[in-house]
Amino acid sequence: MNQHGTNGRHGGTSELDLRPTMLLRNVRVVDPDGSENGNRDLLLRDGVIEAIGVRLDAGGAPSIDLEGCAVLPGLFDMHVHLREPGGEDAETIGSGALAAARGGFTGLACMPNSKVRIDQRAVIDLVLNRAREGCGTAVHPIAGVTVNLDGQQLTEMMELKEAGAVAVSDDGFPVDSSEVMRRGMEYARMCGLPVLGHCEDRALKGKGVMHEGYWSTVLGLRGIPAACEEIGIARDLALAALTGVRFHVCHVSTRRGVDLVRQAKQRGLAVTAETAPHYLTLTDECLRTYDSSFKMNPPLRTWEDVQALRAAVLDGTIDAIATDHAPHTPLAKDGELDLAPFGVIGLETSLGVSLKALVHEEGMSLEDLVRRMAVAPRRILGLPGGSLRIGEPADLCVVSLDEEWTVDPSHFASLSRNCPFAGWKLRGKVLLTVANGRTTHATGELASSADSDRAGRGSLQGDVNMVSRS
Amino acid sequence: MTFRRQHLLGLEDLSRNEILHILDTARSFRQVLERPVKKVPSLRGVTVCLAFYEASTRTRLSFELAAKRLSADTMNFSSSGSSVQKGETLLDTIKNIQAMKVDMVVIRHSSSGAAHYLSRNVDAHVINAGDGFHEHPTQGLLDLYTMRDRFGNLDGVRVAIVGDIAHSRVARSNIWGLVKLGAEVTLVGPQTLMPAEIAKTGVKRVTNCLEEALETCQVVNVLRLQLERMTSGYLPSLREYARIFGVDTRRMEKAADKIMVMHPGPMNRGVEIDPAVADGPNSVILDQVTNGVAVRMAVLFLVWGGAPASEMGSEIALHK
Repeated sequence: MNQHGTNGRHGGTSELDLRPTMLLRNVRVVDPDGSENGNRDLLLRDGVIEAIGVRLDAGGAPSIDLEGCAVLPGLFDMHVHLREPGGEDAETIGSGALAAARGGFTGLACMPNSKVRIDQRAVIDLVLNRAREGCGTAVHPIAGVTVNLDGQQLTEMMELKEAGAVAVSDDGFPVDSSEVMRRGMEYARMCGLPVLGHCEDRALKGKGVMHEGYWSTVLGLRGIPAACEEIGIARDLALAALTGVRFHVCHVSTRRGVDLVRQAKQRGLAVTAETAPHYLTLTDECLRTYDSSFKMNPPLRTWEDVQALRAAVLDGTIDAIATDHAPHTPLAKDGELDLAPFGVIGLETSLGVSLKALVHEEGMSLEDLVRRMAVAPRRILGLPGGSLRIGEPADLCVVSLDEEWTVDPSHFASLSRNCPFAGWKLRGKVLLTVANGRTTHATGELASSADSDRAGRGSLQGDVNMVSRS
Repeated sequence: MTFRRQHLLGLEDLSRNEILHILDTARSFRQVLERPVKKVPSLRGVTVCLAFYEASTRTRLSFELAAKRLSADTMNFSSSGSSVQKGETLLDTIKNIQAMKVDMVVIRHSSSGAAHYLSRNVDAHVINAGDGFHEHPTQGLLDLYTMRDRFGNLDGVRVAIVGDIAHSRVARSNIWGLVKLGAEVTLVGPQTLMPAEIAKTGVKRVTNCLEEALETCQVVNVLRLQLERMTSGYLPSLREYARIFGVDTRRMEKAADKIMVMHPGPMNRGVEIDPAVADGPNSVILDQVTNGVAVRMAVLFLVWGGAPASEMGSEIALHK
């Protein structure tokens, strides 16, 4: 698996620069912001969407029948921990970008809490350079609100924005001082940056390792009460109202947290929110085997919370689904539960788990799922995209809607294995991902089409994501 | 019945019948302890490693004695919790011990779930000798044994557990065992030391009033109060704790004459229990210790794959 990281870093840009030419026939176009929806053909030429229509002429391009598949705008994960720089044994920007591509994502935003914090221009430059050397997934850095994320001194947000930061957050290390948070919000607003909040009262969390409730009592583990998140959200929403900043609540995990977001939206605040696939599917009972693959912060809550979160995603109170992809090496993660770090990976399972929880089980439309996973995250961060535009470079993924697959973390592109969905059977598999006109992931028939494309370009030693998986 | 468990990790997932089976087996071993020669060959050739990652006197000695009474070979390993910062250290240590062909590991550890973790990662039989705040199943069993000795059947017996329920593995193992055997459990303690949603465990009552519990219960099991609870903000002072929750002679006057007083030890005399009560006529605290050896013999024997209780009497008899 190490090869992925290496490739992400050193693979030559020209070699990986695969601009697909193919006709995708009989594919269901799901594009909430587009005019062409339903069963169509979609013609790609040199990475550009040349046409979307009925019975298109391939014009010499390889033609693939994709009945039963959908083509979606490329997904966007606005909450990812890439670990580089500083934590490259758990994930690199290259391996994370590849994991994203496998999951149907064409873009992501990475949190600043890498070991070397994203709190100054040089680190943003490094992240963007690494991303350019990678498979082609767009990587947008999120900068700290405060230097070193220690809640004291504001970062140079204006310069960080010029360098490429799309938002600010002290994710994982929430700004404890309401005064500093207030000034951070005021300054971010001036810079035109949204603030993303990991909302938590850290004193109340204490040494908690899981949701406080029946199961923490049974398992004898220190609890993190739901009030911990509720207090954090309530404070930050009050400060957002005070400052007028665009505020985004990260990984909502509680029923009452949902209520607070809903009320804030009703009051007209510029507030958005996300939750993660694991909060839509898993509960605190999962910890009964003390498996640290279920340890994350905020912690897994109760089934009532799961239901409230699903309802909130369905009705739009929660705007976005983000993974909070948090890689940890087995060395760090495997062991006694209370000593293991918080966090699970999610890029390669996000779509499959979201399809299951929201589309298959709750009857959500694919259009709405695309809104939560492709459109809203980009809008929140002020980024374009999230639609299939004729004449523009393709930014899309193709999903085989009824294809079942079993989650096997040992095959992940991510360098880490801390996945809570190992062994799950999911329906809906990503066959092809094209990011900004460039193939970043392809399997099966689509991979061989891409192979024919690259055959004319000589050997492609750097291209591992194109390996077809049987 | 046959005991089919490879490990003993807690009482929560044991059935009523499994618990009774262990207790019945323990009764046979308790008789062995009254003999002039207190040893049976049941585990001859079996090696038991006592891995104690947290300080313990009573439990370690009790397990060691139990293993030796069964003719097993024992080895001791102890380490302070502070030197064990990572799971790999725990796992590596145990794997190394296992490489020396150890058959059973008795583990005490400050992390809840440490015994579960070990049972998934080593081939040896694992017996939990206390993990964090989670469970201390052999303490629970020996408490049950001691109560059964008095009451025969625990159905409807009223038991109060007093003290720091939140941080007590003894409380949890007692609750599961007592509820499964039909006892009516009352939990008494300060609100700050009462864990979330504890009422859902099947206990009858949760209260902050010790007097009321003593008046109605047949057994009072007094938990040790960890002294660091004062400095971590759970309680204002030892003095106030002793005043409200200390089992003292004044409060015992209102209790039933025959109320059975238990304590898992080690005691903070004068804090959660008055010396006059601990050493008084109602106390069975030292019986608990004796019974502990028999219960641990039964656990080692059954987890190893010992014969059903009905046949065991004769097996023991053979080696008289």
